[in-house]
Amino acid sequence: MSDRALDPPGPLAHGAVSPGAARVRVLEDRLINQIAAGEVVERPASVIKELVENALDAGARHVAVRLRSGGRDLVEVEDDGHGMSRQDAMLCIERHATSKLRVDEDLFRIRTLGFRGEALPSIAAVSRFELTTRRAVDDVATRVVIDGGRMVDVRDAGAPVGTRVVVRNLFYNLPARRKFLRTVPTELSHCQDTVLALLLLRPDVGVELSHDGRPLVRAPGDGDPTARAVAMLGKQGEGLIPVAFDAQELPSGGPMGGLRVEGLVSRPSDHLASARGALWLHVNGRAVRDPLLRRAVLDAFRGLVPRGRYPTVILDVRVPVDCVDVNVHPAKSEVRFRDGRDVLRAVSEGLRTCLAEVGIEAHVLTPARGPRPVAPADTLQAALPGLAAAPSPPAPPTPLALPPVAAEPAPSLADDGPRPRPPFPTPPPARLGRPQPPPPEPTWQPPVDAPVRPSGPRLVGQLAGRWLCCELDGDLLLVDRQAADAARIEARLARGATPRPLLAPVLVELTPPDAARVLAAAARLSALGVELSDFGGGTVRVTALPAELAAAAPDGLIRGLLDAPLSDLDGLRRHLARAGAVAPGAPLSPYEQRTLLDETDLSAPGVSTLLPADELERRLARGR
Amino acid sequence: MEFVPPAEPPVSEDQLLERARGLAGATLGLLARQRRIAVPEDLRRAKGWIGMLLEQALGATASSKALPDFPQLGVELKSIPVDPRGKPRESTYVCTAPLDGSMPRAWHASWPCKKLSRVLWVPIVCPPGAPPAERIVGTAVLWTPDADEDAVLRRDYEELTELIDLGELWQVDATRGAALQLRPKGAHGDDLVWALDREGEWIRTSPRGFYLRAGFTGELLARRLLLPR
Repeated sequence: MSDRALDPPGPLAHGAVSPGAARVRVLEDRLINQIAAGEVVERPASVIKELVENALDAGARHVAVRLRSGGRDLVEVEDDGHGMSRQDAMLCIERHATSKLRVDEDLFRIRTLGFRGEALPSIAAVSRFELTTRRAVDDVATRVVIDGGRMVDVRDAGAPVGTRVVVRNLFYNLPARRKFLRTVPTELSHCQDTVLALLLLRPDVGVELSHDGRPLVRAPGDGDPTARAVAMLGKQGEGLIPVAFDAQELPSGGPMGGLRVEGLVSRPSDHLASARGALWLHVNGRAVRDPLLRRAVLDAFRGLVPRGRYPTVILDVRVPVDCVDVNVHPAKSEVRFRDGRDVLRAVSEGLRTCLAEVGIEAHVLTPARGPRPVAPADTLQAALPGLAAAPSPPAPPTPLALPPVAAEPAPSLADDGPRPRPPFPTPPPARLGRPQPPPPEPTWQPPVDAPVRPSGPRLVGQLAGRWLCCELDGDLLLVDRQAADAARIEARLARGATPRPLLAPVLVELTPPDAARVLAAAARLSALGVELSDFGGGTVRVTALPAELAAAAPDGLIRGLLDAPLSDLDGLRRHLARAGAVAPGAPLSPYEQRTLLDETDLSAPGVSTLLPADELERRLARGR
Repeated sequence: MEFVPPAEPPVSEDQLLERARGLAGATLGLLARQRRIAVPEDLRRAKGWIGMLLEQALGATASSKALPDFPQLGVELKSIPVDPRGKPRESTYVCTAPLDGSMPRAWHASWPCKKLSRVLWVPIVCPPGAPPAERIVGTAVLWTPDADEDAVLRRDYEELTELIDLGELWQVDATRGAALQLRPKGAHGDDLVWALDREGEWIRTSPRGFYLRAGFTGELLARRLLLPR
């Protein structure tokens, strides 16, 4: 980094601000709103989206959208909703002022299209803004005029019940942003898409859209979805098939209780070259750009529509409000489902079921691991005569995750039953590891001749790598580590030893007579968990040892047997226990020390010795 | 050295395990010489050689990847290179992962689950710097996942397949999965398969395979064998 890069920016760099002055400042509201507008208001279509959503939330039965120059010069949205009082009208252009949230919990059960309280102040900050509103109970309307975020005028006005917002010269005070606006046709196209997205599925709301005085869309609010589709989409909206299903009614059942889908879909033969203008997807009435729903729709039509082509689909997916988070992005066009995969499967399966009911089925689905599937278009032409010839793709496989006839018996929505699932990232799985030893059960018994002590020894530390120093009711208890471990191992072997195979057999070369001696004791050794066999030529092959002898090197263990009482099982067990016990100086972790204390009979001969405090006192006193 | 012909298929798991444990302690060089099989100098250029040698020695018959190595017993054979302390040196390949949405959602209906339902693990002990011929066949373990192992495999599988189903393949890397992971598999970078992206569009991407992490297989061996300390 150059020195220049380290220079502080702005006035301080040029010495205009004294060294003691604060450099960090809280931004003015107007600037904050301009910054926020960058997220909420991208183009005239964004303004339409926010204003029409407000109109729908206000219970409007009719919404009129008027544009000039693709919305660059003017966006006007007029509704016949319930309007606002003067107080609310002035408050609504304050940042984070909203009538749609009251308490914290409301954020997680949002039933309105808007809720953030950002749209109006953001729009007003970057335009010449005029709001006129009147409630039914008011005699006059209120008009609020804002210019680039500054309130210019508030006055009474004459207007019908409802709200009219006029937004002129969007981004007039942010020339850099205005430069990013596209041509009039492009912006108009975005505006039309937005109106379609918002009102295609609201046939109960009348809609008018006009541009430069010319009507583009006019549809009554008669509640007929198919008529609405024709009115707004023209020829594309003709002949759409109504679909409706509840996830719980699907053949596979489904964990998505409460999920209901309604909408219209085109016949597979009517397809478009672009998903834009073809897929109109909503969640709880909110127009969304959700890849998951898009995926679900395309999965449902896969094998029916040629690759690269798209059916017309207008869908509203209704889910319980606590199953979806709409507060993902300021534009609210993205949502996050609590269990996206269940939604994906339910929507896809439901659509396919609906299509099947009207005789439309893909016949190209192949078993999970069968031969390479046929290209969808090829098969389609056989299955659906009259289908336009499709471009021949390089045969991508037909997805098999959601076949109407399940190739696998288990993969269905019901596989796992209803179960709450956390959003991503899923919590890390529990660490797989060696099972942790259960809490040790103290087995220590006090010496027979010692008074009964209410508590076990308290481990103080190790001495010379040989002794465990403990406090036992004020006395000093010294425990011989090796002897204690040997006693513990011997006791375990006496209870029954299980041979554990070695990673690889170990060959131990002995003299033939020594090997014969050891092999003669093979049965007794096997009872102690030591598995060995004759490898020939005086070599013994060791294949398994009990886990208690894991610390012992197999080679040394077998050679040591030559000094053991091979014919005496008890003696042999004692010998192996000593051989397998922890060696003096070998490291023992505090946990291992504690476990050794807890699992050993400390009263066994040679394991521990108790130095009473008074004895220590006497010795020390004698020394003085 | 007397020629040892390929073994007949084992008729029972006991026979298979006994046969496998009979090989324990032998070097790969010895097994190869007995069967007149050349030993490669570098196993990186001869992946699968150990598996092939063990298949001959143990009587594995299945030539198709769709069947277990011992189809009559339903047992899969997996060799696993380990260091002298029994620590696996690499992850273990399980099977390829279809990315076209065809993976069953339920773990117990899945291909990895079937592949791992009964496995004969044969550790291959690799002392540092030892050429292939000097590597030692370890003690075989006949394994079925216990409840804990099955649970962790299931959790990993569900997490990975959920991401694939949702078209979030880009989120899947080797850091995901405590035991089962998904990694690119393919000898050549230009090997591509079809997958679905998050918007349901077909894309071409490198093939992926399910692998068991070395930590998981290491635990698996440590719980069943007595490993040197």
